[in-house]
Parts: sequence; structure tokens; C-alpha cells
Amino acid sequence: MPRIDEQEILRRLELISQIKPGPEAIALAMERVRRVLVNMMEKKETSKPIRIWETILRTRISRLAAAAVVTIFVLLPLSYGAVKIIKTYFFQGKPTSVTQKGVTVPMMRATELPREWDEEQARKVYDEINRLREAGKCEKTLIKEWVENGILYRVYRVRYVLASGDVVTMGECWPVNDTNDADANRPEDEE
Amino acid sequence: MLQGGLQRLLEVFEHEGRSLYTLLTRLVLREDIAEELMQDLFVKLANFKGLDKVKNLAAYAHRTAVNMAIDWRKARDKGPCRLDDAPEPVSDFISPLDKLSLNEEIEDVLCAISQLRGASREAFVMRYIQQQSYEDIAGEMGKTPNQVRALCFKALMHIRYVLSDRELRYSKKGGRDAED
Repeated sequence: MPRIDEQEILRRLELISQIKPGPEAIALAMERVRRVLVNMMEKKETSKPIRIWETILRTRISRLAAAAVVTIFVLLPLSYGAVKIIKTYFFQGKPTSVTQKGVTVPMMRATELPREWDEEQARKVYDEINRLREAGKCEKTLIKEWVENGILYRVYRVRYVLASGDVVTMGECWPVNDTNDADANRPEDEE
Repeated sequence: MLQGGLQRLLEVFEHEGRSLYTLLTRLVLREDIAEELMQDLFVKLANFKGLDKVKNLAAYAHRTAVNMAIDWRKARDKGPCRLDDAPEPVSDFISPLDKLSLNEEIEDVLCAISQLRGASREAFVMRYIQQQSYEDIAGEMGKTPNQVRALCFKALMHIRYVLSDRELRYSKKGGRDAED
């Protein structure tokens, strides 16, 4: 049988419920917590991106998913672009220049290789194209012309038929003179 | 936690901060510890991921505060007792001997409250430490006032039993010490 009666417990509880911290203590505690909360808010604002990566890297599945996303959307397009750049580079004519009306101007040639060709193949094709060009075995179509510093420039689409039967089309641009322009086909709208 | 959740917590702090600090002080009987716990409470709440899902954040904060204060008491009771662990006097109008006796009585009740669990502890603290009405408690706990009354009565009986048992053990020990 309990010896302490209910009234005694209620009396003690009444005493506890009358305890009140001093106003200074309350103010100090409030200020301290307020500062902590405001700091936390500021930190959360600045560290949001890191939090996202922390969340991604937390589990193995999310890490794998992130890696897959990076591979598909970043690395694959990049590698595809790199291949394109390399192949275009190998098929781009060496920059040459000619002197026209006392001014040295560049001549440019460029095209894209079929993706399945490797570097060696590209080099062979490029040499063959140069031989065909020197021999005048190509079909030129005028695309665009403009005047710059008193010099007339023309852009042609040049079609080469290789010994293998493959057809390579190149974009070529050079300043106009009598020799390189003689056999050019006029664009359809000018004909 | 999202920025909106933290903003909501800041609002709860501004409205309920004083009553939370008072509650903590009543439960641990020390202002410095109450201040520490108050800070820990809000840091804990700010880092709680499910905070956005809590409907009544003020009630949740009070519940967490009670749990933290009780945890502190339990941890202190397990560890070695130090001189500075003695509670501060609760009033300046009584003699030092009475203060000591009074503090002991209060400590005993708080220790007994620590042994309560779940809803009965929650209801009991709200009713007898925070002096809330049965209707308010029922609203916060999602229960009827009668259910809250029942919980409080059950808790009071348990405390009565714990205190009586403790007193009985003290008196037996005192008797043996006197015989020795």
C-alpha cells in the first residue's frame, strides 16, 4: 500500500509548476538559440549544391544512377564530338594562301569524313583528293561569293569521285582568279 | 530540411521559446542545462528531415523537449554525482534546510516522472508541469479529455507507487544504518 498520498504528490507538482527562470536567463537562452537558427538558415542557403551531391552520393544505387546520367548525357556526346573534330581535322586542307592584288589571303578546304574511316584511311583519301584536284578531276558548284577588302571570294562545293567509287564532297573557299574559277559551275539562281 | 521548414521552426521558436525554456528549467531544475538543452532541441528539430510533415510543430517541440530533459536526467542519474549537479534553490523565502528537503522532494517526483512512458508521460507533464487544461491537452494529443484524464490518473498512481517504494527503501536503509 503506497504511503505517500495523492495530495502530497500534487503539492510537490504544484511547486515544480511554479518554477520560473529569471527574465535575464530567458533572454540569454532565446538570443543564443535565435543566433544558432539564423546561422543555420544562412548556411543552408549557401550549401545547397553540396547537399544535393551529398544526397546523390549517399547510396550505391544513386551513385550508379548519377554515373549513368553523366555517361549518357555528358561523356557520350563529348566523345562523339571529339571523334567528329578529329575526323574533320584530318580532312581539312592545309591552310594555304595566295597573293591577290598585292594582299595575301587564305584558302580553305574542309569536309567531314564518314565515321567508320580511321586516321590512315582519311590520310589516303585526302592525298587522292589532292591528286584529283591538281588534275582538275572534280566538279565545282558555286555556293556563295562576297567581296572583302576589294577581293572577291567564292565558296564552292567540290565533288571528287575516288578510285574506289566513293564520292567526297568538300567545301572550298578561295579568292577568285582566272585559273581556279574558270571551270566553276554557276549556282542555279545565277544560271 | 527545406528553407521553408526552417522558417516555420523559427516562428515556433519566437512563439514558444519562452514556454519551452521554462518547461526545460522545471524538468532539469537548472537554468544553464535548460539553455543547453534548448539549443540542442532546436538544432535537432532543424536537422529533422520529416519536419515538413509535422502538423503541430509547437506540440512536437514540447514533446521533444520533455524527452530530451528526461534523457538528460536519466544520463545524469547513471553517471557519478558531482557537487555542481545539485539543483539551484527554487525559492529564496525558505531556510537552507527546508530548501534541501524541498529540492529532494522535487527531485524525487521528477525522477518518478522519468519512469513514465509514452502518452501517459506526455499527458502528465502537460497537465501538472505546464498546467494545461484537459481540453487543451486532448486537442494536442488527438484524444478526448476523458482519455487524457485517465492517462493522467494512471500516471499519478504510478508516481505514487514509485515514491512510496523509494520512501520505504530509504526508511529500511535508515533503520539498518541506525542498528549498525
